Amino acid sequence: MPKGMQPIFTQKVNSASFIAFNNIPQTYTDLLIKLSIRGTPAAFDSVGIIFNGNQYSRSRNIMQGNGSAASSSRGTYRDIGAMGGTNTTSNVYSSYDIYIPNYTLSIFHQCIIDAVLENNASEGYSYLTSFVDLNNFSINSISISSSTYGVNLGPDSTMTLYGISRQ
Amino acid sequence: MTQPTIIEVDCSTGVSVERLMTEEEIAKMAETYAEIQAQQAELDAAAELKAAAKASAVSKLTELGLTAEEIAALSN
Repeated sequence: MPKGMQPIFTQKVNSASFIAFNNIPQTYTDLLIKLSIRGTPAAFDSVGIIFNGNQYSRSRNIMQGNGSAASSSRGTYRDIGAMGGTNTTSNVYSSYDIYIPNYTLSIFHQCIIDAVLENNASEGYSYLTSFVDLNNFSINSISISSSTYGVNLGPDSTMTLYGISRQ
Repeated sequence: MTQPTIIEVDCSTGVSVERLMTEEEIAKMAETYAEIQAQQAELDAAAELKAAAKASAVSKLTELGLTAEEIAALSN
């Protein structure tokens, strides 16, 4: 019987800047990360993701809507979508679904992210982001952080790593 | 700025540990940040050049008498 989707680990954050899931079991087909997260500054920031501690050789595309306009951008940095800080509605967290197929293979890794920054105001954001990581390694470590260097994540931010199996 | 902290989760044991980042980790992160910012600047510059070339092409096509709808049809 297929194992389907199984939680590997859930990490709750009080004030850390970086969260690293290390020694990820190589026994699933795909990985899914669900983030419920916000930052500590009184400003919009972005969530960043890094595989195996290496953020080089990446090509990323973002499609964004903010309630009044749509836009797109390309980049090489680790950010995948905006994250609210204390400038956004209290106790409302930005949500991200990050899907990583075939993570055990030593190939380029495509990753797709569906995200929304909720805010009880006119400025909120939704994202469809994808990137390809060109490093040719199997993924055994994933780090999540603010894309701004050294910024703490807000209290009660939560991230869960799931493994998904075809068989 | 206070020294950043990192939570390391060992998925094989289910143990997570929070600690201060080392000076080496902080230096490496800052170095990588600078390098990737430079890459992004190159990408942005290339996008600006492309946008300028497109605007120039649209202007020339307009001077030739094409309508906005006809120009839009060319790029779709």
